[in-house]
Amino acid sequence: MTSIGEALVSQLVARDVDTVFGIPGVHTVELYRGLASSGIRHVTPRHEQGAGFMADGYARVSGKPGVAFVITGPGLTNTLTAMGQARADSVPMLVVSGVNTLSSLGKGLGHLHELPDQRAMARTVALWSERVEGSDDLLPAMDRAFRPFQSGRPGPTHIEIPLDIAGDQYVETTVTPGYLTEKPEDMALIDKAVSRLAAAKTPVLLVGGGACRESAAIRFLAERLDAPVVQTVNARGLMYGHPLSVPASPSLQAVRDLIEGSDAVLALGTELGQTDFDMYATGNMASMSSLIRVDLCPDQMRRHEAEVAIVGDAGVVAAAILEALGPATASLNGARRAEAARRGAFEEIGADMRALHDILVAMRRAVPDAIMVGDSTYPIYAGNLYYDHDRPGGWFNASTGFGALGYGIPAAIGAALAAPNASVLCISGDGGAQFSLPELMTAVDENLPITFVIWNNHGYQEIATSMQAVGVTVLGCEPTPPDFEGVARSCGMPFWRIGPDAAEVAQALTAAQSHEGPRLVEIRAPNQSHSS
Amino acid sequence: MKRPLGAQISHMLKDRGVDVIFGIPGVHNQEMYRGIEEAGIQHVLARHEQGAGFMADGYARATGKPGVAYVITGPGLCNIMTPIGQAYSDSVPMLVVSSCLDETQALRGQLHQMKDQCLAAGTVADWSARANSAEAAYALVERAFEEFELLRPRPKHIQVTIAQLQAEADPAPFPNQPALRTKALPPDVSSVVSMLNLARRPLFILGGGCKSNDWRQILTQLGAACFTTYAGRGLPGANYPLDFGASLPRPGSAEVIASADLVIAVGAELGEVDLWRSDLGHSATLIRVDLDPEVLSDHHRAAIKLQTDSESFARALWQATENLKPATGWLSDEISETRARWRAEVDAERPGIAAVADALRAAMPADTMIYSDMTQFAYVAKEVWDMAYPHHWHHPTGFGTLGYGLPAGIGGAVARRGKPTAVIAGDYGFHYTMQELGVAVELGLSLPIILWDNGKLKEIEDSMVRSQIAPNAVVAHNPDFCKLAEAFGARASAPSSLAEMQSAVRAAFDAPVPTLIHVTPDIL
Ligand SMILES: Cc1ncc(C[n+]2csc(CCOP(=O)(O)OP(=O)(O)O)c2C)c(N)n1
Ligand SMILES: Cc1ncc(C[n+]2csc(CCOP(=O)(O)OP(=O)(O)O)c2C)c(N)n1
Ligand SMILES: [Mg+2]
Ligand SMILES: [Mg+2]
Repeated sequence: MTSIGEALVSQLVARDVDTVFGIPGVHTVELYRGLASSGIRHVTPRHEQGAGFMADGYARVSGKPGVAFVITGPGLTNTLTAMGQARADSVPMLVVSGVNTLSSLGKGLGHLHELPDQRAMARTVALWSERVEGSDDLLPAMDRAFRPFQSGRPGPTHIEIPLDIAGDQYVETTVTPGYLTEKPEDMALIDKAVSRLAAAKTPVLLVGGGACRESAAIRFLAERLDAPVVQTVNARGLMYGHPLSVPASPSLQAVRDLIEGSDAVLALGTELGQTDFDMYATGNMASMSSLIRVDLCPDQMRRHEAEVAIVGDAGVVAAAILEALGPATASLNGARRAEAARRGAFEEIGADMRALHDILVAMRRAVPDAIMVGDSTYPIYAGNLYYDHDRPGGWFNASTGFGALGYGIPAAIGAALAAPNASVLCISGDGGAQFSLPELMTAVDENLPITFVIWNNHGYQEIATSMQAVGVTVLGCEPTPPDFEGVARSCGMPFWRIGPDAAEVAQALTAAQSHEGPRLVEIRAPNQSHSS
Repeated sequence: MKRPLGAQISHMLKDRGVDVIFGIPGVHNQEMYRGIEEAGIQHVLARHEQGAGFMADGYARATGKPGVAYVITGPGLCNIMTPIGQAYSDSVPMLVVSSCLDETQALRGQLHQMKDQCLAAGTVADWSARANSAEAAYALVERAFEEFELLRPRPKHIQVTIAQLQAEADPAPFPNQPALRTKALPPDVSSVVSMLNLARRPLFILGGGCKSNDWRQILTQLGAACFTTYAGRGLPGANYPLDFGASLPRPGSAEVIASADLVIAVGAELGEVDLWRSDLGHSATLIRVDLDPEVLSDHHRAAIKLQTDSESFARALWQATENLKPATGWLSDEISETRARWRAEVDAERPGIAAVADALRAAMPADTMIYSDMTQFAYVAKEVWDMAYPHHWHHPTGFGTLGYGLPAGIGGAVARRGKPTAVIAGDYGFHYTMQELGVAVELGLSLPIILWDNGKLKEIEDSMVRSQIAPNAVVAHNPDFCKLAEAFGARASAPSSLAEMQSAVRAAFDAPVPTLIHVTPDIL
């Protein structure tokens, strides 16, 4: 007999899922019946929040949905933050949880792990939340959960299986997985975009995370248009070292000037969100004349006025535009405009941020082609403002969007599992690292070659500085960090302690690379809020 | 005096008896941090909002006062949802105050923005509401405190917009004195008394809703036997001769209950986690005493229902039965035999733990307050460890979440400085919130943390074996726990005998920092 829980696992296999992040419990044992023999790799984190963030890191790197198995109640509440982050950053994620017995739901019987309405809760962060109440529900629920991963804007989805249903016999239904066929992009709109772009004298591309896998298509289009390419945080790495690359935040004035001076802006796979386009919360963003938007999500389109709005995949549309444009005629000084924006932006971020940028560059040189996963900490803020990464899709962090602290360590673990041959660097602050420190042991479990870099300035510098700026006596910003060397040793990880110096960083990271499993590098950094 | 609303809220809380706030600051809620120390409130900085929530829970369970937590918008709030869910299911008074975005409809993609923060919290809290003005914030705080006082205590969430937190506001109105409330009349217990008059074998089931009246005196006066729920342990005191203990989940308890000729359940939800079966098993009349109509109307078919708080009920009952002859139907020998049988059952189910629990109990002062996590050690201890005092053992009963023990214990220790507090956690569950060790070190808490390390998720492995599933995903590598504790500045000890364990525990109560005591099944 095959149980519904086992059938769900087979469905995951059929949908090309090869890794599941989960914490088993009495409520989800049925999911584990078929797991061991399914060929799916199961990774056990130390908290369901870790499962969620790992699934997120895994998804961003593999392009496939990250899958988590969690128990009823607290298992699911623990993953909410990770689902919220995935929602804000459009990351495909499926969370499968248990739920109490069907007959008990909504009655408040005081059952273990009970919530008044678990799906209502999941729906406050997920795109969909479905319950499987019997064999017939399984395939439709799986289809629905996977649909946003195949077309439209991805995000987290949730399926729950009641405790008394998961072990029931699965009766095969005749429903075949109903994949949605992608609707062909609207050629009339593409023609309109093409005529605008063909006439442009100072075109600019704004590229977001929705296009971070379209390195070649974007590069060809940019070259054809001779257009500088401004990359949001999630698009960094797309155009490394390219003369048209502007790996700098569109919140900076120099980049805004570039955009405002453009007569045709083509935005691909970016929600034009505040954390990229107006991170200083000035209340406005660069004004864009003749904006052409390409995005998977029709809802997104309604949020910004655009002259041409094309619902579709960034890579497909970029290729279509390129084809329709034909060969280039004149140079439009793209490289010069890009260079001016880069230079202005680098100047604008100030000496402190430039010093941090240089440390990131030292890391890139020491460990080329790495995936750099970040938490909310100063070097990451610096990089988000200005940093050119050398691997497409290789720079991401949670300091934008939902802004969940503690993302770095588990997301790096997910990334390393998705790209076993890649080098992974994780950069967290001492405060952020403490949010998810226990997950270091998951990296040890899986023997993952991740270098965890901790920027230890002894406190929540970002928050302390912000309190000082508004005249609040600094309180609650000094979570005494543990002795990171002791932590590393207790986990059996090699350890380096260095100063905030590019040469030292390069040396330590190079040394760390030669170790097989996870390793920890602590950078002892000054805390700006302490000196004042 | 005018102050930003964020600061006024802390002053308002101080006026209502709040002395400690657990939280994590961020840019969004920094205005709330302006007033904390100014108002004379201690702030305890957690390492994760989940820690802050469990600390507030532990504090509340230790004091009976609401535990208060301050968190940021979005991820801060999501991170504290598990503790809110736990507090809801265990009826713990908790107030979570968070910041929220000013504008969420016209603007999307803002930092920390989520679909609907207020709604999200409302799916786990008793209620969740947004304050868009100082008046609204004050009214909501007032309502929360009123309800903590008068209704079944449950967690509430208030979110205040960033703009309002920054805006200058007049102070909150002065609190109503509780003395001005008209207290409810003493409950009419005459029907209970007349049933007791006839009963030979009256049986009480005392739950966590019972306050610390002298239940032992009442039970003795009535000649009544009793069970307690997990949360009600200690209500009859240690060694009450007619106490069946916290053994309701034993299958055999149904027989005992069936043999009673009157069953009176006070402040007990009698949910799945209390019974592990759906029926109580009573054949005689069932009387329910509870504040909450939801409990009174449940499927247990109570014949008499008294909606009142347990304190008033106990007082009225005591007075009305002073001249009653104690019932004579229960024999203490029979009861101790039954308990010995049950203990043997417990020991057979999860072998070895009972002896360690006995040794641990012997090394702890009777008034130690214990916070346990979801570990087999706690499941065994619950049934074999009799408590001298009520409300001295706290466990994440209903919601059943891992990672509760350590942070809740910290909250309890903060509330009871100078009195003994201890934590019991399993090796896997300890990982969930172990970073909060740093908080206990910072505060210099003399907290023994007993880590029961069986090297696996044993409870789940057992469950897989029972379901004929080849155990998988139930073994995870552990760090060197002692070194890890030391890295946080705590002490550590790995006793190799029960006697060593006992001296480690005694020393831990006097240490200037917490002590992790690493115990493995090899200790026997
Ligand atoms: C879950 C969550 N809680 C709180 C915050 C607010 N927050 C943002 S940055 C930060 C400080 C991080 O400190 P650290 O990691 O040491 O980085 P630093 O600013 O010192 O470089 C805090 C508390 C958040 N973003 N997410
Ligand atoms: C948040 C959450 N996730 C998962 C579970 C399911 N669960 C209950 S006990 C347990 C294993 C705990 O292992 P450990 O702490 O080592 O205790 P042991 O059973 O081995 O004594 C798990 C995973 C839970 N109760 N809460
Ligand atoms: Mg820091
Ligand atoms: Mg264990």
